[in-house]
Amino acid sequence: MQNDPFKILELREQCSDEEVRQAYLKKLKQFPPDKEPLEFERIRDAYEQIKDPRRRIQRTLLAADPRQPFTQLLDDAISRKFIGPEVWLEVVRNG
Amino acid sequence: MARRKTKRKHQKQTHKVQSTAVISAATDFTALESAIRDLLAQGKAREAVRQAKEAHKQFDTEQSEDLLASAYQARIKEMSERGMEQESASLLDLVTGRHPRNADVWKALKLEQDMQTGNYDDLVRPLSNPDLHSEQRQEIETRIKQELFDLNSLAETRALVDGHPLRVAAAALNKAFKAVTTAPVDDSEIALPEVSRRSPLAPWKLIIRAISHFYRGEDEPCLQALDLVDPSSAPARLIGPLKNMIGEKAEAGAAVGKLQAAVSGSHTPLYSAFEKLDEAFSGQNMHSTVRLMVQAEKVCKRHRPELLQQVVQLMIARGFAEGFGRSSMERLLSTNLVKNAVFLRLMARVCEHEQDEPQANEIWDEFRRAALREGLIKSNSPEEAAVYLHMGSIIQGASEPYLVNARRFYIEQDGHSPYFLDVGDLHRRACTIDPQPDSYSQWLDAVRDRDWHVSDEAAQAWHGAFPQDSRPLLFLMHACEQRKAFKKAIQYLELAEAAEAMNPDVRRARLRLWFSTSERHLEQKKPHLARKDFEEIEKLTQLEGDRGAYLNALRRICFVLENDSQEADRISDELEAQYGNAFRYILCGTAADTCKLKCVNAEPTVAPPICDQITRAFRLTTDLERQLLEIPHSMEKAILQELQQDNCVLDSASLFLFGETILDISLYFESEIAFHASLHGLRRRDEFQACFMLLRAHSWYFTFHSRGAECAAAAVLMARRRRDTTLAGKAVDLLKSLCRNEGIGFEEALEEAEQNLNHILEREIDADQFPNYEPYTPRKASFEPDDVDEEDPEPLQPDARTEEPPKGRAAHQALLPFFDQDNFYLEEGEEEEEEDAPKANEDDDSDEDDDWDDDDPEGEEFGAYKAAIEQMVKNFHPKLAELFLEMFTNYGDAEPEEVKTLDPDLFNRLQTAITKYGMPPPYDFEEDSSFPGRRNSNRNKRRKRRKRKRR
Repeated sequence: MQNDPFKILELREQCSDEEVRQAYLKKLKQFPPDKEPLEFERIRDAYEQIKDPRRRIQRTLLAADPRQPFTQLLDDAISRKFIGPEVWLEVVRNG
Repeated sequence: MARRKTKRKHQKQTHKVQSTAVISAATDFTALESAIRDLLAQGKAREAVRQAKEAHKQFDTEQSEDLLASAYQARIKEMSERGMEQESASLLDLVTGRHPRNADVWKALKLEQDMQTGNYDDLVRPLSNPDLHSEQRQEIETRIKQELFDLNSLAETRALVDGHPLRVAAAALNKAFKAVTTAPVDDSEIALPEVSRRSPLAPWKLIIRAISHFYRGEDEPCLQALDLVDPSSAPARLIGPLKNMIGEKAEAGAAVGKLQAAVSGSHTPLYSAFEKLDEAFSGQNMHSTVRLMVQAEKVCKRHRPELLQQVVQLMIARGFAEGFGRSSMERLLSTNLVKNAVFLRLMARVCEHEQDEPQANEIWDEFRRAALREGLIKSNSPEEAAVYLHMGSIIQGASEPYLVNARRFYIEQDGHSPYFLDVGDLHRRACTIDPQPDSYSQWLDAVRDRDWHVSDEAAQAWHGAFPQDSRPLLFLMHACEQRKAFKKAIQYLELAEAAEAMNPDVRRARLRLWFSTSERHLEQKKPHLARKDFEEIEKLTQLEGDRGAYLNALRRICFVLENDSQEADRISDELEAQYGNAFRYILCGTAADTCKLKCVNAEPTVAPPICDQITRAFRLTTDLERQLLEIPHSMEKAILQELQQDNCVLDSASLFLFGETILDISLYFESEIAFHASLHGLRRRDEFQACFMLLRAHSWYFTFHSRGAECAAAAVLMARRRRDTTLAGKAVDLLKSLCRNEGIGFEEALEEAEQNLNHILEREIDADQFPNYEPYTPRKASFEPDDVDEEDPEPLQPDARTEEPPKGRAAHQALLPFFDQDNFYLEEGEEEEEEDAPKANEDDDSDEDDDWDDDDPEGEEFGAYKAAIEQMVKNFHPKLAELFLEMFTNYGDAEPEEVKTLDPDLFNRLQTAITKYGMPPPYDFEEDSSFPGRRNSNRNKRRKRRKRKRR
């Protein structure tokens, strides 16, 4: 997943053009080309891959890795699961 | 049971006696009050109530009633905290009636109880009063901020009028909270302009943002939003859990465990099962893989049933990729496989990996239809166009013979060839749905090398959709130019000029087109028409710099055609006087070659300095897009002589161009010239150093792969530092090629170069001698059978430098054993021997595809192969032999298409070299499926011929 442009730019797959641009600019500030040339190149490559909305569609719609590890499937599923508001509000109510 | 009851009764009585004793002893109320307050402080509210009741009975004063009220208050709170909400409400109702004097206490308690059940009516009702005192308002707002947890209840309260800002804010927050915890949201959905910064509900807005960042995986913004949340507010209770889930240590309450388990999950057994399954797949142990698949399915069903379908789909797709039968896997697993768009996408990707392009596209088509059915994509949407484009790119990478077979298969099956095997059709569909310049560009790229009708259709469609885009017009113009349809080409050029007059390609095209027209007329030996073209050319403003020299070179040809040798010589002399004789030679030769004419072109004197003249000529011919003329051997010596001197007159840019072009036109055989050019450049230590490092890497291409790889890696790093992406791209391509030859990793080479960059640079600057050429020696294992006598090995490779290669017809004849597939495996007498063989063996094709040993036990065929190679190598031009041997050594009996894919550079060099060294007509690997090393096709041909002979 190190080459996943969305992960590199810390974006979700359903992001807008402006979000992509902002994420890229933010990363550029973090890793300026003169100080971190390799990281900058990685970021630029990631940006090039997803800056065009149509290429983004291609990535999100058509990219799938049949050889991905099964554990990754679980990682993706368990890391941040949407569970609705009830359990969250229970924490607010009961502390 | 009876004994226990008796015991409890006894305890109760003892306790009563003791407390009565306390009361009787405490004649003073103050002491009694103190004892009860101690009990309250210890959390013994129930006992405190009992004693307070006794005290109130005894004293019956206002003080005793207040004390009792305090005890009841504590008891009611205790019951609420224990979840006895109904009981506490009943008790409150009871004491409210009995002790009206403490109405304020009961009212506060009632409010608190309401708040805990999400009833905020009483709390917020005063806010509808416009005359409410600011302190009271602030108090209510503080309570809302600190205690409110049910946004929906506040949004629907009847105590406030419709449209009250608090209700509106609560409703918006409630909606946003539900959205952000249910699915991914856009920023617009959680913008919440209804909630002001001063609102008591403002912390909710911040927590919603934090949750949104959390689900997007944006941990840093999430933490920033959490830091802004008021820690005393009710939603601040989510700060701890959120920080914990992100990985930051934070305090969190009891309810947090449930939240974390729900959001992050805990699936150790499933994780472990998956890990084992991944290992089994990596180990390629089919038996254990199958067992672990079943096991993982069971564990998943138990722990994460909602993931089961996804897991089973991935299992089947991955198993299919590893060669397991799809239907067997489906039978093996108890879960019914859902063949939805997600599954089809996985299967299509497997076929892509397997390079089964027709099958992949068939499944992508199924995916498209399934995705439309499932609502994953909409019909005629950019998403559908993206699917078509993707299918187009897949089929573009497939080899044509394979596609032809696939089409034939579908025609036999369905009666027609499907659209998904036609790259043009796929792109046409994509462009119709979503007309974008990039899509048209991809379409044109895909069909660029096909029949001109097909490529012109794509360019015309692009032009129709985007008339102001000069790219399709330039393509159409080039296509016409190549077909020698110059009039039409000029029409397209005029359209391109109208669309983008300032485009440099457009600007350059007119001059080039007129040159091409005049060259065509000269080729047709129509000098009078060429002269008219010259007049047109002279009018053009683009005829600047050295371009006029090319016009003069064409004029010279015109005079030659008119047999006016005096004028031709005069022009030649003028060119020589103005630009030098090397320049004149290259330019006149290039012009004559372009016009496909043989004009007398006096050999140049070869005294240095000539490098600047050659570079100038290279620059001009490149600018006019003319094919470069090969440099004569005598000139090569002069160039080397000049470059070996310390003072090189060329500037760095020209020197680099010179080195690159020399390599380009000489097919890398002038590595020594490139070496010396790069040496001059590297020693200058200027901004072109990365370029010269790349040139140096090229110069090692044939002799020292590993050193070449080091230089290429250094060039990549130096180009990156200079942010020269074009140069970095070239260096990366070269490095990849060298790494492949050397069997080293690309990243590994880069890392090593990063550590030793200075050392590599200094080493290359210090190396001032080009190493002696060592003939390419094939590995013995690749060419010799095991039983060859090692003491008397036959030389496979002649001295590449001393052997004079045959030319023209002689070379053609010498190469026949190699190119004539029918003769390739035959030796004298072989046919007669085969004639006598039993007939039973003739039609036995089953064992034909085995390896050497099985197929040719006496090594007879190998001998023929070896003899053919020896003969071929002896008569080959050494440079050409070297290329062929490089191909055999690196790729064995790989298919031509494979060689083309794996090493396009080698493939191109080979094709160009065959053309260059007077070989038989260029060997078209695409057309001819038979190729050295493809034994089966040759064998079949041989067999067919024998059968014919017998008949």
